[in-house]
Amino acid sequence: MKLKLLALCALIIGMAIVSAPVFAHHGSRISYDLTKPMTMKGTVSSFGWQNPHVFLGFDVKDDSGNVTNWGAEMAENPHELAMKGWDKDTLKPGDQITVTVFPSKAGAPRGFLSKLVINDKVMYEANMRNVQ
Amino acid sequence: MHNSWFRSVVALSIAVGLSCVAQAQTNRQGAAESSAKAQPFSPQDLSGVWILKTPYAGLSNHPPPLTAWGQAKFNANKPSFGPRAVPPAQGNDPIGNCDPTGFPRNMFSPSRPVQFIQLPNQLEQIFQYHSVRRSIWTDGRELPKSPDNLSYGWYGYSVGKWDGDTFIVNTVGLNERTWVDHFGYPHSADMRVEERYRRIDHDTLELVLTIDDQKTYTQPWVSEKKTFKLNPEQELYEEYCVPSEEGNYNDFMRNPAGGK
Repeated sequence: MKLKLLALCALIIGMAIVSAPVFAHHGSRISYDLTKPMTMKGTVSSFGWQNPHVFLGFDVKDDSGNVTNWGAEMAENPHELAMKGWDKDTLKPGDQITVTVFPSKAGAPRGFLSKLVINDKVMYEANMRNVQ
Repeated sequence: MHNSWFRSVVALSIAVGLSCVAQAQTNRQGAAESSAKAQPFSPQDLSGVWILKTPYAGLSNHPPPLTAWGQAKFNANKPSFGPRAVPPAQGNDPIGNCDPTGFPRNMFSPSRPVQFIQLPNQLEQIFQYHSVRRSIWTDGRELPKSPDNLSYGWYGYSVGKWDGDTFIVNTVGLNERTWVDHFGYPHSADMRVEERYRRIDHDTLELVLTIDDQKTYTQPWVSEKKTFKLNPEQELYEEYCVPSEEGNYNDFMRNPAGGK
């Protein structure tokens, strides 16, 4: 009974936390539209393993064959990503990726990284609680 | 409208969830807290790694009225947090170029640890972000009397003393290039800051901080009570803001994302 009650509590709190507005990381909340995630397939063009902001560049080809170079920043710094098993070579130019980003409110091909998938494996999902 | 509804739902969910957990865990949690409080500690020993648990990233939500000089500075500051937030690309937060966060703003980073090292004649605070070391002199010296003796740095010149179990720190010599908080509140080089620390149990340190800056504010600004929790498991790691790398990030990400 007690375990069931705890499980219910965890679910309620979890739902609230997942849904809660985030405290913007370096102004992320104000720069990106956190209500409109968009998913794209692309090819990694660069990976900025840098302090305090890690980001990646990737090329996305549309139906007409036009290529747009996108950028996506991550919530974590290199140390925090390293704790999750990442390093500077986790992403390399040429890697095929599927990314979900919260896009720039200004309309630029830039976004806040929400999810990254390579070969059907989820490599990364943003914990929005950590977004400051 | 949507936001207020959304916030209400979230707040209600959290409230229900928390009370739910409280109900289920009263005995165990109560025992754990009692155990923490029961651990022996010296109220005059602040050593350890502490983490701020108070979420508000400034002194308080109730700043005193600004002077005309202060208001002009406030208007010129364009933060990326709070009600005046603009995208960082359009703002001018000094930390956006990796300038030092400065004191007292560095005190308001929830989740980033600060280590206190208490020595016979000084207390050292080590802040993880930028690996900043701040010295608080406890050898009985006074603050410099003349502004000519101050270098006007980012973290100032600090002296501390015990008044019973309250550790009182006074700081002067802070340059005007830093903001008081994420929200763009300014200060002048005349600012004096008093911190009053109290370790109320083994795991809990409280801080009330007062800014006295008559050039900027018409009366002293007393902070809300900030609560830090001891976290012996926490190790500080290297966390720099690297100007050249931040420049790359600003060029590639921040500026386009913010419409610049």
